[in-house]
Amino acid sequence: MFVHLHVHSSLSPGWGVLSPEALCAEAARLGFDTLAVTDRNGLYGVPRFLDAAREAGIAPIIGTEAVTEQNRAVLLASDEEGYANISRLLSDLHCEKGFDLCRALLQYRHGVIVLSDDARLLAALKGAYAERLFAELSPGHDMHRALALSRDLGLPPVATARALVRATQLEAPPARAGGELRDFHLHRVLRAIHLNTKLSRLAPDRTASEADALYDATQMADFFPHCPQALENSARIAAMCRREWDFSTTIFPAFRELNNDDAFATLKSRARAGALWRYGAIDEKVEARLDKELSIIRDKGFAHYFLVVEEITRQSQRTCGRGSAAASLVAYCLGITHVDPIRHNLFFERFLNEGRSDPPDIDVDFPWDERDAILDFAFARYGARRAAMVANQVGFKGRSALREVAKVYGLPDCEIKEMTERVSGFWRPEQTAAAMSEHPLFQGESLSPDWLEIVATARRLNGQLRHLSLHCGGLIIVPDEIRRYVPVEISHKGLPVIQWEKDQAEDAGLVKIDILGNRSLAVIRDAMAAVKEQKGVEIDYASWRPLEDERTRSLMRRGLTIGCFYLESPSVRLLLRKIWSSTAPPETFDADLFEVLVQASSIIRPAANSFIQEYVARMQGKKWQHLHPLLEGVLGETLGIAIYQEQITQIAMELAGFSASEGDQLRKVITKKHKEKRLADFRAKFVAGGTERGVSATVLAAIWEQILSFAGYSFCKPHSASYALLSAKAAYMKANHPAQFMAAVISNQGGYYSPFAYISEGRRLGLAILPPDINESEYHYLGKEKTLRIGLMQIDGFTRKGAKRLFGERQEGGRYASFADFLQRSGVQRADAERLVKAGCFDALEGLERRPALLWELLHFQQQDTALLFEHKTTLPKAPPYDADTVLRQEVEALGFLASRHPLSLYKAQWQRHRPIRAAELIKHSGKWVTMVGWWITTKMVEDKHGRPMEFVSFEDVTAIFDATFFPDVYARFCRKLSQRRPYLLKGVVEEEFGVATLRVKWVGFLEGNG
Amino acid sequence: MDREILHITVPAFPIALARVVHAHLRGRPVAVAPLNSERALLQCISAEAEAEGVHVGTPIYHARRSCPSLIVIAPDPHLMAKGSHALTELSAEFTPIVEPGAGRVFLDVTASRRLFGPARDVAARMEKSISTGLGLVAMAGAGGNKLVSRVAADVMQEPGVYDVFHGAEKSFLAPFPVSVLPGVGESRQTLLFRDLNLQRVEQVAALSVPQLRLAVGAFAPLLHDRACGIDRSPVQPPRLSTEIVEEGLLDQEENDDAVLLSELLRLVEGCGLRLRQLNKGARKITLSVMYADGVTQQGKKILHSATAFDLALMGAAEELFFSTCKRRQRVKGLRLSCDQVAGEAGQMDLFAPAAAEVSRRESDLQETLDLLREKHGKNAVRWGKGLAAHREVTVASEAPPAWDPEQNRYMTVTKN
Repeated sequence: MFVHLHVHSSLSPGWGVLSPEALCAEAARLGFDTLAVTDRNGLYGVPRFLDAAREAGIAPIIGTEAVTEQNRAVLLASDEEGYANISRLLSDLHCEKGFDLCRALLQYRHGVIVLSDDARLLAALKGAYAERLFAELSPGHDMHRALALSRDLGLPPVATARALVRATQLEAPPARAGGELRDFHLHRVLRAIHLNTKLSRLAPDRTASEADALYDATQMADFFPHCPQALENSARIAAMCRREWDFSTTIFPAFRELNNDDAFATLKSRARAGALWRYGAIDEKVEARLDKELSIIRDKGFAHYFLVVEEITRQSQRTCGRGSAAASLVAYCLGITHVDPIRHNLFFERFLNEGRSDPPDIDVDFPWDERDAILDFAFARYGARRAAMVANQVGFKGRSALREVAKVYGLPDCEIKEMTERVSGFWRPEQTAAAMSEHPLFQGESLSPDWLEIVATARRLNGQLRHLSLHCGGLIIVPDEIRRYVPVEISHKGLPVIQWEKDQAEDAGLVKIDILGNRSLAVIRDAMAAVKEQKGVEIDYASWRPLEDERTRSLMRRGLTIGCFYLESPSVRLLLRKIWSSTAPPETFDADLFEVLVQASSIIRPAANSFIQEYVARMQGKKWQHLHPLLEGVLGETLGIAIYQEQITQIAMELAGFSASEGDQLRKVITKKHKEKRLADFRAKFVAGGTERGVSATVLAAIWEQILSFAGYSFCKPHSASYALLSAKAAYMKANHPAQFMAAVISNQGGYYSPFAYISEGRRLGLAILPPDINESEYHYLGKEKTLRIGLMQIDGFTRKGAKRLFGERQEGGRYASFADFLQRSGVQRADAERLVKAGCFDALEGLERRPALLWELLHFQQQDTALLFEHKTTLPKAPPYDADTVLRQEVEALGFLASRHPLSLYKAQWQRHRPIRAAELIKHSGKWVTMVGWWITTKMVEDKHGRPMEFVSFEDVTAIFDATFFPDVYARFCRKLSQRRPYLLKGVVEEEFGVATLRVKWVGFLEGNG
Repeated sequence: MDREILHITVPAFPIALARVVHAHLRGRPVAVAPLNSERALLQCISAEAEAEGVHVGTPIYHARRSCPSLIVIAPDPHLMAKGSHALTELSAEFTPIVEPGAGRVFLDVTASRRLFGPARDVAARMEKSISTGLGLVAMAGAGGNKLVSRVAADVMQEPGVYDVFHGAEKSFLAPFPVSVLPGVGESRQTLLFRDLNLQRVEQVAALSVPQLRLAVGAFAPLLHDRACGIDRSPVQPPRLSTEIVEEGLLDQEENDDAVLLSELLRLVEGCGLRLRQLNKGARKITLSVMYADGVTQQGKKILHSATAFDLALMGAAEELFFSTCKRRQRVKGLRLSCDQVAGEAGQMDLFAPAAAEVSRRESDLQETLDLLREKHGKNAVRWGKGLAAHREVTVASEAPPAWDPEQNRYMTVTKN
């Protein structure tokens, strides 16, 4: 008669070893039918534990071990009230300074069973309420003292094992445990990582005891011959605890204290008003769709959620609702999303349907610099009592596991880095271990015994929780009190954050609103503001149809989309160029541009190259037919190729007879977590279902392959459509107002390319690049007519404070007349003034040749400012002007790149000798061996199908950007040279595909010195 | 009387030494920097690295970008000490007034002219003995002061002697870049001078002191002197110290405290024995921990009373060890020095707390141990702590999982 009531899973931060799933399976194997998981100071894994317990056929008990500097107690929830109290107590533990466990337990005692061997705590609690209070007896933890305590206080004893490791390992000889690394060793390594110390200095009281294991009932009985009632009490307690937990009820936020009916009525009237605003009149189609959506929303109690999201969305003028929610007409009418779902044929069912049990969420993008204000608004509106952010549970991945363990073993950073830089950040620890023994990157290397041990340890670090961090945008709002549902901690930024990550939050029925920052919204906002200010042109954001503009369409078809959200990367631009290249028949130009954009932006995903090829060919009129006639309805609009995420579901339904929810699960399994074990089942089912319908095995295999290529990432159509609209808006700005647009792109920073690449792009657009200037420049970049003025933000090291003073004074007192005037008026610090001079801000006022003289003036001014008694008047020396090299070097130092001219132009004399071809004319040399010069712009490393690394690099010469491919053999030869920012000399073959040329590099060299 | 100062320098000394020991470093771009982080700054670079555009003072990752084949080695204080010592010893044959530096040495040979001839002769002989004795290449400069002789030596591209005649100091320095002047070498000053477009020493010499003061403040008169080739600083031999030092390098880099403590005990016993032989005690102990990545941490501790007994010293050293060795990084070596060595009859502090009487038994024990060891060898009797402890080893016999490229097919690596 024994039940484990004190067990730690891997979600005890920096402590636990075994996952909830492993614990449940082990407990079932040992013959238990009930198990408690009591993670340290948290309910970090409750939804996962409940799932795992159901799978293993175990009745779950929810609890925690609350540990503070002074006290320690195991708390178990005997009912829902107890759960809420534990959750509140843990929230206080994390959020309150001076938290006292005894006091907190007196307050949150209802429904909570307390086990402890802490004398002070037991005495304090017994005085108030002696029921459901037990003295905890655990082998290896001062059992005699605890037993004496139980007798002294008259409290019933209970046996626990504080289980952490598997008991089976304890019987094995000390150095090895069945050939397997010991759980306890892993625990010690985790502790050392957590406490930032080394194994030999890890004090025993900072770790668990080696005997803390998940024993079976007989082994436990052997520990308690003197106190059998302790064992019986454990079973008694288990019986007192609630063991049927259901977290599946969805918890929606509440809008302004309205009841469900009022909320629905409000939503309905707002949706109808919105439909009038969007369409002018409500026609039959809209009417029918609205009715359908509203009725599902009402049935599912979703009205509050919509209203809350709408209210938050209204806080910013420019937003982009994305994700599956873009399929909803109601969301469109409320202004949450901006793509017309009727016109673009977006299926509402992907977002919400009768059968869908998990809560779908609405994601909304805000301009990146407004996001914090939006969150502030939400917290001000709903209060920290009702709102909190979703967490990320930070654990170990392949690289971090290896690094952290190696640090515990004391290896030097560079040696660690030498190993880890070959490990992909995507690999899980298990894969890393495999890679180090077999991957070509590690071939021909024998690992030292130290490293073997480190790798063996690191591969076991899989999902052990280290700490929480803030999920970038997930916000959860509940109608009553968030701490009832889940413990809340405080993040570094000061925001409340729940203990669950998004999957567990979803499993527990908490609906999240994703509030994400998006730089492109700010780019469009800033560009529009500049256009309005300079040209007086105002664009109505809501009714804006950018694709009706011919210039925008042409820009996109030529792939000139650098700076345009989502379509910037070389691979997307290459795809756009290929689709509408010179080899395309006229029909290709008739296709709906928006649809093609949506498809093009969705099909770009890792390892989808063969599908992309096929897609372009079909776009250009290649004859094709469906792999199987059953797919007609599903893949018709995408030319027979699976592009969107929801097509997985539809294929499975059509071809293999999956139900809607099964199909949806398959989609989730492929695109999300825990896939290995379930994927095999689905595959078997898929093949069986397909065969039953008479689909041949080869066709099934081919389709399965297509479905699997979604593994990396993929998008649903509504999501891509939302983004495509945003891309189109950006493209419109670029096509019609290039100066203002490029200025906004660079000013908002964080684009796909570096500022240098954007400036080059500006030059190609025919903009004159103007240097920073004390009177003309703003802090940000300034686009005006045909010019792009570099902003003072680009000056390396120039302080915000200095900028504030400079602009404040310029606004008040007018333009600066001279350097002396500037020094007198602005009160800018010396270092800032020096940077301004060197960046050439005073060249227009004083002349380039006076830069050194200005620095002398600055020194003199500073000395007079600090007023040395005897040296008021010093005649300044005559400083000779800088030579040309110094001026160029100062420009690079101040701005981070050369803006006054293209860096390649410095090497002109040299490269002319090699007779390179111009990038703009690449296509003319198709199939030939050529020489080119290039300046490195961006790069993407991929692996070919044999796992060998190769690289795509974009270079530019003075005429255009061009894409170069380094296939594995060439890559292996030149990879060590590739990231240097030097002028490249490239030789290779021009390859043409669908009328677009790229360079297949065969040889790499560099241009030396100034020409 | 005009002074005759000789300067001998071995370019990139740490690298030159490392190349003597490790042949594979010869002819390749090499740099020295602590290996604890990719952001660590280069302390010294070889000529090959310099040709690739690497500079002293840049972070490692930065340097690798312009020279991917750069070999970065950790500073080796042990080797450096050995090298410097050898250099000083060679110099001492010619004059007692020798000022050693890292890979450099100043000799004041004013008074030994009668014995060894002019400075340039001494220089030639030194270069030869450095080359044959140490296998290093050295350059020499001779002149009327330290500044000029140093600059002269640094100018040399290959072995030889640069002799600057008396009175020609100013014109000798004139064409050099300003960075040769001491005090301008620091990067901040260099940058300022570069921005002010002061490139050569003569340009600085042409400025008046008040003008110079604008740029460098109180340092102006001294800098002006130096720019004119005036340097009055004497050659300063290092001061003698009374320290007792024991240094130990571990066979294998290690971060296990038990192993490190046993090594520490060995050092303590060494120091203790030497102190007792001198019949003295130490009041201050300094422990330097040298880590595998080239970083060194140092801790000091003042004892209540001077002692020479192993147990007392070990207690203090152990405490010092735990407060000093705080990194997880593996340790390469330890260095223990005992300072403020005082004879037992030293003057006592009036207000010091009464020194704990050294128990008779303790001193008897120590005496007996010393006798035993003297008679039967060092390892005849040992403290249990000192037995080489073994690090806990976890045998990992698990076979590595199979690499499955399928799992990674759809993953890409992007870098910037």
